[in-house]
Amino acid sequence: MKVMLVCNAGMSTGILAKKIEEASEGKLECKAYGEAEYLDHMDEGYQLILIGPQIRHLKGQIEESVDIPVDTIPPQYYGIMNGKAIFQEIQKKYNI
Amino acid sequence: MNTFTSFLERKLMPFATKFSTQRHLKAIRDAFICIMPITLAGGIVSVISAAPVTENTTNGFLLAWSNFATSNSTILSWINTITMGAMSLYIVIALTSFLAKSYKLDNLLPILLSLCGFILTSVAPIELGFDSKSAEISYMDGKGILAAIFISIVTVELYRIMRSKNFGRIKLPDSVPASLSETFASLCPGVVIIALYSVLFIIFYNMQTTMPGWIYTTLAPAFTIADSLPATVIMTAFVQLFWFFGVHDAAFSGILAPIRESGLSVNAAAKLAGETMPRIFTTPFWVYFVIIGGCGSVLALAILLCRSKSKQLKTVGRVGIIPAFFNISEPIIFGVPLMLNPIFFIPFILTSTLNCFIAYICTSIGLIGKSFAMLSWNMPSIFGSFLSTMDIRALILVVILIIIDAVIYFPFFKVQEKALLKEENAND
Repeated sequence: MKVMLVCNAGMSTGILAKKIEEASEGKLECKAYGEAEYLDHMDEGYQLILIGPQIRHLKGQIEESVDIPVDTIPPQYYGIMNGKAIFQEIQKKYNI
Repeated sequence: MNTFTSFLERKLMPFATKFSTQRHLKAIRDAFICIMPITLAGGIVSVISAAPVTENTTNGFLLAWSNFATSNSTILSWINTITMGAMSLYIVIALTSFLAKSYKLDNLLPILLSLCGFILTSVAPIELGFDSKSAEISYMDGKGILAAIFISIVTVELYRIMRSKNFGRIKLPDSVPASLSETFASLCPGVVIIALYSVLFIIFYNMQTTMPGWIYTTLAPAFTIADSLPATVIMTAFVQLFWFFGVHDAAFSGILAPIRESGLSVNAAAKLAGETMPRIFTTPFWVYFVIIGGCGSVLALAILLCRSKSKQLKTVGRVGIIPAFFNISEPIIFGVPLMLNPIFFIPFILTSTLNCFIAYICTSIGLIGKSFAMLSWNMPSIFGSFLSTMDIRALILVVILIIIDAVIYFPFFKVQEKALLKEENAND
């Protein structure tokens, strides 16, 4: 499953994308992009978008612009870069 | 407190959404992010040109550096003039492109039209001989930013309206290839837009100025106000308030970036010309002195967290201290959490605001040098403060500010720690 992480500039979620990938042991492919550029990558087969809590006020707008599910990353997992917990949540929600 | 914060959140969130999704503001913000490699290159040249020497310097390396800078001053100045010093030119290109893209227009022609309009109205001809032409290009730097924004928006909006109304579209037979008829469709709008800018040029030329020159003189009081102590302190507190609700400051970059970047560009030009730098509030001032460790000035708190007795806070500190060193505060803000946490409301807003206040005063009374070079958002404050001002006292100031931030955060950190320790002990 391909997951896209979107935050302000793709920097802090970049760290998190790596952690989620590691925790998923190859089940997920994660890439982080900034909010200005994510639309340019929508044709690359992503199935889920996770947005950083710092841009959660843009969730509605992002949802409108794409036709795949959009979720906000829980701040507490984001804070300690808990890729494992985020992976488990995706696993539960999307049965992979 | 909880009902108060949730009340504020309900009121502030839609405001932040509106600000960060407004088409023109969003394009302005993206344009400023996009030209960063060019301003960075200018910043590096500024640093090379500004060897930190005084009359009493005896260090061989510094003297050699200073000699190199003096003997190559024209070369260095020209590189700086065409990178950082032509910031508005690049803003015109980037902003027009982002704006056209947001309307799903083909962006090349609007870029060409904006560029033509900007040069026409912002560069003043001096002598236009057959074998040599010279013109005055000073307004391509930060002083031309408002003109650059104006031209880009006007071009895209006019072009879009004329295209959608098929203004002046020449009917061609169906046998003409589509690409050709597209070119013809944009002919009339293009000519009209350039005619409009030519008229603007003639008007300002007859007033013996340029469009940005006129804007800059007319709005000079506004620029002075934006660079004043109260304005900078209020802007900082405002950004911090929104960050408390977890809204990234990029939401307001459409307004703040032009102010900070034009200040930087004006200072850089003055520094290279050997004149007094007029501005205090610049991008490096903001990044290296106001938000030390990212918004919320969390570097000081990260150091406290690493020594915490609470397991949870210690983990957050260890995860977050390295990003904070490189000015990324998200892990600390969401991890402790600081966001929407009433305990941290006061220190979260106070630390950066006080940093701004102290650094502003130190700069204005000359205790530290003014900033004129921007390196990178991710350069740690202790290096960035020195390199952006070439003043070793700036580094000392940043260390003092980190200590002050730690003192402010400490009591609130203890309250949070106590609460968490209680929970953690109950679980054991």
